[in-house]
Amino acid sequence: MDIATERRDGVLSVLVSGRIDGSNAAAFEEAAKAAMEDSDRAVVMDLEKLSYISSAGLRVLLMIAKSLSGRGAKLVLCSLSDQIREVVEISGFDKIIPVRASRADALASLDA
Amino acid sequence: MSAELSLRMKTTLDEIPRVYTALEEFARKENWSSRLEFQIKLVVEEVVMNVLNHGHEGNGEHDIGIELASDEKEIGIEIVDDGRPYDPLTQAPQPDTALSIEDRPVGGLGVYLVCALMDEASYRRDGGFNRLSLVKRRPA
Repeated sequence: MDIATERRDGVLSVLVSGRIDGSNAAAFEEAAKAAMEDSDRAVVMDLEKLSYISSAGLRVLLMIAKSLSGRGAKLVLCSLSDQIREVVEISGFDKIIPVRASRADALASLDA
Repeated sequence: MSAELSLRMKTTLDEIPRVYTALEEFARKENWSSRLEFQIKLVVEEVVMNVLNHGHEGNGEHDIGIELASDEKEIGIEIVDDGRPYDPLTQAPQPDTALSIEDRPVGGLGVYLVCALMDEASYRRDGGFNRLSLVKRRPA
């Protein structure tokens, strides 16, 4: 698991690559939190290069969504593979976290 | 033609990557779709994580056995541990996926995903072991 980040107009984009499983979900949480700043109005998690995620990783995404929502910011997910979209939908996360087809879509949805 | 894979792992997190590697190799040999491979890896991990997190008192290391059988019709999985008696199919809490982001509790998704992704699931306690059996039918 690796992350690469980019910040523009108060929106942090996080490209996550590799896999997030029970053995590295804590490291993912730490890396994502370290990249986030209180002034970010939104975080876009770009999952295009993510090959695998289990409930341990989904749990971290929900925690991040909750903490952002708690201070009036939001999390957006984008570029999900069919398999990842399927588990996100079974979990019901697509009802509480916006899911966009591409990073460009995600960023456009956040334009004020 | 049916093929079998038999894995044994210790109840520690750093065993998980080795289990993935073995599952990925088996998936390639058995011509699983990438979706099927993803789903089998996920359910194995979810069950194993449950055993790691809740299966045993104290910090001693235990073994988990993972047996797979794959043919053109279905994949059968059996996961065996010697932890305290625990039937995840009836004892795990069901998440409420209709709650708002504020009210949605974090966690409790593992067994729910297993049941949603598999076609059959059954549990039995057998001579000091938990045995969870799962079946995933392959699309015709």
